[in-house]
Amino acid sequence: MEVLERNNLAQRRMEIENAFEELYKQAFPLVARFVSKMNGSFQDAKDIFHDALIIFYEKQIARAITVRVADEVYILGIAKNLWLCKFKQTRGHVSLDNLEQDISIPEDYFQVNKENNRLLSLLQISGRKCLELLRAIYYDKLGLPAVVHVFGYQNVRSATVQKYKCLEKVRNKVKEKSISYEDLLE
Amino acid sequence: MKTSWNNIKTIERYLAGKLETAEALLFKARLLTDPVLRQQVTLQEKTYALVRLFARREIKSQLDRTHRKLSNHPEKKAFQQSILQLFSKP
Repeated sequence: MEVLERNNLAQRRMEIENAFEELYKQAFPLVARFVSKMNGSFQDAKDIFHDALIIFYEKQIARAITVRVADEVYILGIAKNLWLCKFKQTRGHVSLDNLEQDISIPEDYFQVNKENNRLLSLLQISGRKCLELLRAIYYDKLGLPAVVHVFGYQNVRSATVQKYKCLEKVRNKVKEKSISYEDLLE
Repeated sequence: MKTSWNNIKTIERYLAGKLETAEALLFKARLLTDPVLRQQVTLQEKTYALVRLFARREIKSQLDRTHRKLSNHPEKKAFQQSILQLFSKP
């Protein structure tokens, strides 16, 4: 069982990694060309591109992409919007077409505070397995039957139990470790 | 199911806007009078936000690995050149 569990999880990781690699080859040249045109550096291109791929993935999972365009065109659109978010004041003018204007960047994407960074580091030490499970359920939006398969649970019921155990564990940890604990009671 | 899990499940449905009308009214009334429940809602929102942050970080480090792989692989020379020449200033 243990071996099966690891194999399925490893296989799933591999599949996701391959999908990202394909997108990398297709879309990075476009984004890099755009960034170089804006006088950005190679590092800028890499950073913007990685953020754009993550947001693209989230939009695909949420089925939020309703227009029919090639993936790399859409990713370039996200990258242009990200460029505007980051360098609005300092670096020039980007003209967006209709498709690109309709692309939104998740509100919380750049709002990572110190507190969350600190909490996440603590959680990664003590509860990595739970974070992986919760990621699969809430972020990758894997259905419970798929979760059973990937993580090697007996059935949907035991996966559900594990989900609640993990939510409870993380929630308790957040409560215990929050600096702003007092504020929460206000 | 444990009581605490019912609590988590209800809060999850509340945050996702999935409570039935009557349930939602009742829940909001409880929120007004129950500071512990209010705190639990806040903590749970934070939990989901941390899971999202975790996932984004994980993907980012995976993309860094892909980036290194494509930058170092001898068979990908043409790809590397085409990108790098965009940034070579005359």
